[in-house]
Amino acid sequence: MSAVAHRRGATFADVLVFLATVSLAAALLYPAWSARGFRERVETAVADVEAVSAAARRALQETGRWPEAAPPGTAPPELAGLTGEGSAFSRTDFRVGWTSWNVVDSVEVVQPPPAPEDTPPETIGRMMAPVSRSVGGVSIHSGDSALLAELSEHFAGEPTFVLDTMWMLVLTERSTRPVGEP
Amino acid sequence: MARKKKKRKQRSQQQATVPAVSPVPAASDALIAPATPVPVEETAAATLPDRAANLPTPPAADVTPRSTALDDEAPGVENLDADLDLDVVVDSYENLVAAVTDMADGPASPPVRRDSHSPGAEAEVEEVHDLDDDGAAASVDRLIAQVGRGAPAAPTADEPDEDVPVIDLDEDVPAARARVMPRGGTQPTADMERLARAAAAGGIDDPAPPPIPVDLGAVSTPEARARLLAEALAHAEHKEARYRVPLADARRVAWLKSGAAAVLIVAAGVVALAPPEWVRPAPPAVLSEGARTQGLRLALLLQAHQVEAYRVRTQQLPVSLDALPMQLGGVRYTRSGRSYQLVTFTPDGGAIVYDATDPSPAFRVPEGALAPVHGEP
Repeated sequence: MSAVAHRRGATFADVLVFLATVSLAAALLYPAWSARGFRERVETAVADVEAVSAAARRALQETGRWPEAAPPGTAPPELAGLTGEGSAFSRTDFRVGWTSWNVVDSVEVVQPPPAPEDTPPETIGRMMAPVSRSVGGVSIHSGDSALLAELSEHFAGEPTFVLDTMWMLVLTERSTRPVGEP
Repeated sequence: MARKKKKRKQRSQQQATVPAVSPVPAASDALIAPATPVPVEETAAATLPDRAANLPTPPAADVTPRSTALDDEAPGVENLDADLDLDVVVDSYENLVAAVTDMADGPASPPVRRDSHSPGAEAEVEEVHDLDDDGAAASVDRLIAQVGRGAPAAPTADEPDEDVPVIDLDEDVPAARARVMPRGGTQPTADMERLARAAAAGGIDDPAPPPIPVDLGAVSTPEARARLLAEALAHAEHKEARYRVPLADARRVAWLKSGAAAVLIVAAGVVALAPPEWVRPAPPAVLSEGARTQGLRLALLLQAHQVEAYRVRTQQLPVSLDALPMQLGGVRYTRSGRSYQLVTFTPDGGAIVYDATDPSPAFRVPEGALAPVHGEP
């Protein structure tokens, strides 16, 4: 058997080719790998927003009012089921918040019928009165503007806005009682 | 000086003819027919009656040099050539000594001729294979043809019927196993035929090179020598064919690999620094200016609702936004009599103003978005 056939092991050129191949594969795969991490963050944020919204709506149906507002990253007592490890209010990449906003709607007021001795009014129209009620809001706080933009794109059909580092989804269902009233 | 030369020549001839112990066939036909042993003692006694008694006993067959030499530069082949090149037919050790003695006395005597069938009859003309006469190729072809015809080597009377190990020189394993080949040649016939076929086919494509059976005790007959020579030549041809295969130039391959590695590294750098479009994943969404402005209007409207709720509750405007339970950052509040304004700014510095007395028509869209869900009062 010849000496060439007896030669075993990798040469320097073999090692060089191996390292170059690994480098090229890494360069090709790194963008997709890093984007995969971002996509996972977006999916997690969307899932958290939907979970908090669903829980808040359940609370609205049960109690007739939205859960109390809480600082970002803190779950209100009505949404205590969403706390704990791996839940919506314990993320590290972003913070989930819950707020409740007052809104004033003009509601038609039913006028009492005039007394017989009263002079009939010249015109009869609907009387509107302002009524204060509340809406809910799920917010995501993050310095990643791409994440906030992705959230706006995902919830494009609903009232959302981005203010500085906060993205908010407004849940427009009205509670029967305004914020602050017992 | 001439005496010294003559002495050297005698020594070389003596060395060349020492293994010749067995009788030589009388003619070329005798190679095909079974070789008949010649009564060596009678011939020697008849030709050299007085010298034979003083001669030493014939040495045993020398085995080691031939077996090792065949694998190298084939000095064994040269020895065989030298054996066959001898013009003197030597069929016994005594004959050899006699021939050498005659050479020492004068010019080489003509070959001794004898009848192989009847020792007493007149000797026939023998054919001596001189491989140098017509070139190696013709001799090899003739020898291969002889081997292919399967010239049987009849067992001689003085050869014992014991098995001797055959050393396969072509085996690559360190501990080559010696095969036992019956002496006299029926077992190697198959090998010989395979060797002949391989040699006739060029011997190149034979995956298993023919082994060289070295019969340690029967190399003195012309058949054996011819067979051994043919085997050695076939073996050498096979070896040469193996070495004739062009080996990959290691240095050139290394350069090619290094070049390929350099190209790959450059490609990796290009992809890492300026990745092409097909490498980049889908870019993340970017909030458009219109969508951002619309969102800011919605934020101002939501803040205005807080002010209105405060006014509904207290029948007056708040002094500042700090009096409200909920407030948004980056929103300025300006009160003027029974009216107020909310101002915020876009990232490029543009102001968005909400005037409570006459809101801009642009706020109708977010107002509709904040409207109660259908079915609610």
